[in-house]
Amino acid sequence: MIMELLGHEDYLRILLSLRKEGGLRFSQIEKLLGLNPTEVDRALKFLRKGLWVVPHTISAEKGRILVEYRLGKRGAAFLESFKTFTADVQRRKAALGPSEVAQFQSLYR
Amino acid sequence: MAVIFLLGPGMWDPAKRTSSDPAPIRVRREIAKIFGGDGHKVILMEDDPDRQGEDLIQKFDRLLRHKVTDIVLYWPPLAKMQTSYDELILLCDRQEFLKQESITIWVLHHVSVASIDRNDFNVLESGSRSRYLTAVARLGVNPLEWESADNLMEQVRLLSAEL
Repeated sequence: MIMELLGHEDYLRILLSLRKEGGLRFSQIEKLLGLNPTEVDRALKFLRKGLWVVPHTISAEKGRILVEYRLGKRGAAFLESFKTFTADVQRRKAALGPSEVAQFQSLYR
Repeated sequence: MAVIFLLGPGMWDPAKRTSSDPAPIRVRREIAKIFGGDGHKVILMEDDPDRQGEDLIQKFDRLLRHKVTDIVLYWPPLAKMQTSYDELILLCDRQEFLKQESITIWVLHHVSVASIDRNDFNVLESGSRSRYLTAVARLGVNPLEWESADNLMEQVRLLSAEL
């Protein structure tokens, strides 16, 4: 599961956005990250299944019940490990290659 | 560690389900065992002895007000839900208390009961089942889907780590 998470840039970007914003709806994630609905849907299904994110219902008008996605404890723990990893990548920039590192850092800026 | 009030049905609806699957109360005890194994305290209405002169509402209130941090509602398909409906009504009536105490409600529902579709939570149950689940979802809950017994237990293990 962690390997799959690391292998999908979209999944990581969603987790990082949820940490920053606190909670987001599907359409907000779409807009904020410039992803199409299929990409967001696939990512959220994966992230929900592993409880990396937690869906939360919100009562809305006209009988609708909306869903907001929030970062789960597991997702937060993963991001903490990821933070350590990114700091280490930065330290080893010369050996890893500046352009590779810059591309990697663009993920979470 | 969390104090979990674990709600849900006790038996299948005999008119709708004749399967030899373990009764919902047995599933809930399995769920309780997983939570308990991680150090959480779990409260099941059925397993807490009635006190003299105490009615269902008083018992529900006594248990709910016993430092509960999370409510977990197990919602399988085709179960006999009458007792659960009573508990859900009591829950909805205590919305202010739940908010005040920051008690989180988790709904462990089967995929045939409700679905999370992009921006929306859709209740798929029909009739009164739909009404009660909709009322609870309006309180603001964290719904977790499962589709098989194994998948349910996996979700419970993940939830236990989340609490």
